[in-house]
Amino acid sequence: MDYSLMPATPVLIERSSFDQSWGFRLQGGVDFRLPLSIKKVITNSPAHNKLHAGDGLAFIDGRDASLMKHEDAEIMIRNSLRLQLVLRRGQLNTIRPTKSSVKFSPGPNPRANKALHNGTTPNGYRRF
Amino acid sequence: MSAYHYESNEHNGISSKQQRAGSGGYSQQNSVDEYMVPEEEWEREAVLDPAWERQQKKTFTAWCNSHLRKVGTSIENIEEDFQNGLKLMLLLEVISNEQLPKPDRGRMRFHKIANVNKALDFIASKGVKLMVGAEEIVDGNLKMTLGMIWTIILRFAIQDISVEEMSAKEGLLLWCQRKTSPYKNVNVQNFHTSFKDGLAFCALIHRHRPDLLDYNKLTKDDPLTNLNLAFDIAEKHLDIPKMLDAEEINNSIKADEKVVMTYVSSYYHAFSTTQKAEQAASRICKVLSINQENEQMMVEYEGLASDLLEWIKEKRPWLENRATDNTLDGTQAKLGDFRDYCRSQKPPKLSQKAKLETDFNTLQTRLRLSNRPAFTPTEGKLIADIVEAWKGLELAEKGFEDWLLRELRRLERLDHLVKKFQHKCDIHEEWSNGKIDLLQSTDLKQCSLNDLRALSRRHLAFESDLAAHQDRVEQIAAIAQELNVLGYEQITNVNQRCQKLCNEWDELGDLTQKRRLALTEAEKIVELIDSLFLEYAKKAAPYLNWLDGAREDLIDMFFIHTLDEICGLIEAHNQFKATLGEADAEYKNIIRLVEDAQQKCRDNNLDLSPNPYTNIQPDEITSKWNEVQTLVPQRDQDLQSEYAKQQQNERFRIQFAQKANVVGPWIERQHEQLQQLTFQVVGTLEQHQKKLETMELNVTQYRPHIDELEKYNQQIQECMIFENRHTPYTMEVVRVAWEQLHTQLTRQIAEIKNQIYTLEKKGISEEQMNEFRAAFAHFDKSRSRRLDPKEFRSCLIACGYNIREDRQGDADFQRIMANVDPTHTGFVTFESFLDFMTRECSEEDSVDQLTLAFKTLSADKPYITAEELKRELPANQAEWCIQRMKPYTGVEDVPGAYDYKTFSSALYGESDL
Repeated sequence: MDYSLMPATPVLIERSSFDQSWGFRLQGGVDFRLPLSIKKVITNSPAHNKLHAGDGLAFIDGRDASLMKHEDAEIMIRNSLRLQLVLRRGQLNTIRPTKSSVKFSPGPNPRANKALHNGTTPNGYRRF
Repeated sequence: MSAYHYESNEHNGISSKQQRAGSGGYSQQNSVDEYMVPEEEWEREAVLDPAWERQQKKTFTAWCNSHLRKVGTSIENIEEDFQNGLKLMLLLEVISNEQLPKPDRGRMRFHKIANVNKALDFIASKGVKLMVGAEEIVDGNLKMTLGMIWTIILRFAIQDISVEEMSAKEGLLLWCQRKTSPYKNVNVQNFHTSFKDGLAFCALIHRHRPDLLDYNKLTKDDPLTNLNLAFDIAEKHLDIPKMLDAEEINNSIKADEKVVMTYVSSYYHAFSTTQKAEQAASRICKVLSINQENEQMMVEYEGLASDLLEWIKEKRPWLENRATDNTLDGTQAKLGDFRDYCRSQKPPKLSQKAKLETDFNTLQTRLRLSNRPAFTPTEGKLIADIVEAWKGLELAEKGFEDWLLRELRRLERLDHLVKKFQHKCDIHEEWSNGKIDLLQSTDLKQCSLNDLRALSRRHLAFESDLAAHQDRVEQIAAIAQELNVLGYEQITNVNQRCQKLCNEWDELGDLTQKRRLALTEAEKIVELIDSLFLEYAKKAAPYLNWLDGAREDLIDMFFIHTLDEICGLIEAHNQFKATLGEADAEYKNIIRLVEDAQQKCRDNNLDLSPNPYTNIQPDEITSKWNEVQTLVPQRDQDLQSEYAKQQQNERFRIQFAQKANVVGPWIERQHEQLQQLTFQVVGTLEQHQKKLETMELNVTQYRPHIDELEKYNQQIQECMIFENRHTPYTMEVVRVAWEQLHTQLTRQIAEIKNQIYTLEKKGISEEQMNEFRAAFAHFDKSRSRRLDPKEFRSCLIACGYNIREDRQGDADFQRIMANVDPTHTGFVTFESFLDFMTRECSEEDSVDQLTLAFKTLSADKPYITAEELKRELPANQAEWCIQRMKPYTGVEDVPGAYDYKTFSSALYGESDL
């Protein structure tokens, strides 16, 4: 997968002790078929204003996170005081359709009036 | 206050408004503002039925005490004990959980009025319009006091019970109806007569605490017992004081509504706490049972996979072993085993394999839909491993039947050749027996010239005989050679015999040459031999040789497989028969020579000396000629019966072919139909599933035709028929197509079921689903049931996503792609497409819901104990939790406490860090 168009943002977050929580909820992992990503962030925590809900994690402390299991990532993050992350901003933010979709279902075909549809137009040109 | 008054009107049946309302039950607008009915009505009707007054007094007093006891006080006389306003303020503080202004401490009337007013102001501040003056309370006016208390009860104990935005009274009534609906003899329509026989109270208790009474033992005919039972149990186990008098409720035609409502509201409050815990427990159970079911399915998958792999492992070497015991019977038996394998052993395993794949997909769908991690089978039991092992099995199976039949044919031909070889050797050895001795005899040294000439001629005759035998020896050697090529098992015996025969043949040749030289040497002194004898000898030897040949041909065995071959043999035999006339003439010729010689001897009175030129006796010729003549009709018969056999074989072929030509195209048509159904869903999914299931039924019902074909095939194999030019279908081809049809059909049905399950789980409409499917199919140009990124991008645009043809669009698309294909397969399956399109619908904060449920069970503690789990959840689910929950490590260290928060998040693959 080519990620070149999704800029990677390096972010450093720090906390003073292991008792202090980072203040974000991690979701996904290769075992959950969802990219490792941030579910929500608690205000006034170390993660506040640095991580945002929907951000994907590309690297954790220099390790590629794309094939990491949830638990492995969780352990790495728990055992750290200085967390060096590379984020893909808004990777998980849903893009919603902006227009109505094209119909593919076999809908009823509007049938032209047979009387008008006799192969020729009134001006005598042949119709296709 | 005015509600009280308003209700009392109803008791006396005075208010016309009330009559209208009373007949139609409690209408909405009627009950919403019950306690706000205008004051005027109260003024006009200020009478209270003494019996009702007594009931209310008792009940309201008990109700007040049930709250006042929490602060260690009580009242005895309701109109007196509230006079100074102090206990009234206390009561309001307890039931509202709020602080009232400090009461005045004096004992003067104006102090009392001030305190009562503080209480009345507080009530008014809760949005209740009161129509009672403080003086009336201070003066101990019973009616007014009761009215005020009712207002308090209505506002603080009943108003909150608003089920589905209904009025307080309506809400309480609906709660009673819902809770008692499963009980016989209970039909709650109001708060007076409906409760008279006591069963409604008992039902309410039993519904929430079935351990407290046995509802089935109660009867409608014993209201007093019922009422007292309910009141006793409520007092003893539910901490609800007795507020009603059983006899009074039973005796009054229509009990006071307010009294009953007050008491019932206490039930509601007692049970609502239990109810919340029940809801929480049931939510947890629902979540856990999904996990337990999934684990069960995983265990079943593993078991099934092990079984199947074990079976394949056992069968493969047998199929790969291409060796027979070199006997016809042994090989036939092996063919029988193989047929059994194809017809009874493999089909169930094939369904097992299909089931395995289906189960696997169903399980993954369930896991995905309930946001649980994907299931990875243990090493070596992946679907891919199963498919691989199965392929291995089919590879091993391929050509097995062909090989067996070839082997059978080879063994049969060997059998035939060995018999032929022995037969020819026997004839030849019979002929050559004693010939060497004869050639080595020294008779020519002692005999007369005449005899010598005779010997010489005789030797000439022997030489021509010898030359005639050359062909036969070559044939024997050729058969021996073929036996060598075909790898006959006991080839050494054959080779030894052949070698001996050839050696003897060579020796015969040498000896013959030597003897001819010797005879030629002596021939000068040999006289002319009797021309008759000579002629006889010349004719007799080749004729006898021809006779031997003819006899041999006539008993020659045939080995053929087609009608054409037998027709050829019959034709050859007929040609042979055509030459018989000539042979008969020759026979008569030869015999006449002998008879002529005999005649001459008789004519000249001579003894007939033995023919010196030959030792072939006319008798031998005659007997062999006769034998040939009897063999001819026998041969005719043999050929006819073989012809009949070939005809029957042909019939068997046609029988098989006709059936196969029906079955084969049928299966092909089913394949086509299935193919169509795979790519087009017309109508609802359920209809589609029905279509597939109908097809499956048809296919299953078609089974007897396959069995019939198998029967014909077996017949053909038993008759050793190897080719069939009447049909392009072989049994093997039909079997494979049949099994494929079965497998694909099962798979298709499972897929539709999964989609239906997805539909339900995701809560999307059939129409939406059809649109998703149609969109997906439209872009799936290769019909591979997955989209490559380019196709997927077009599909998204068609579905209304604004993905522009620029850098921003590329970035957006990459982001989506990273979501739908996190493992970078480079493709998007229909399932992940569906997941993506419906993600919003199914996204709910399940972790928080589950955590909240546990929090309720643990009475708002941040941890939960094993006892609490066991008390609130079914045993097996409690155990399941206890095994998986980590000990709680919060600020306070509590032994035996479990961390439900981490447990809940882990279930959904989320963690708070």
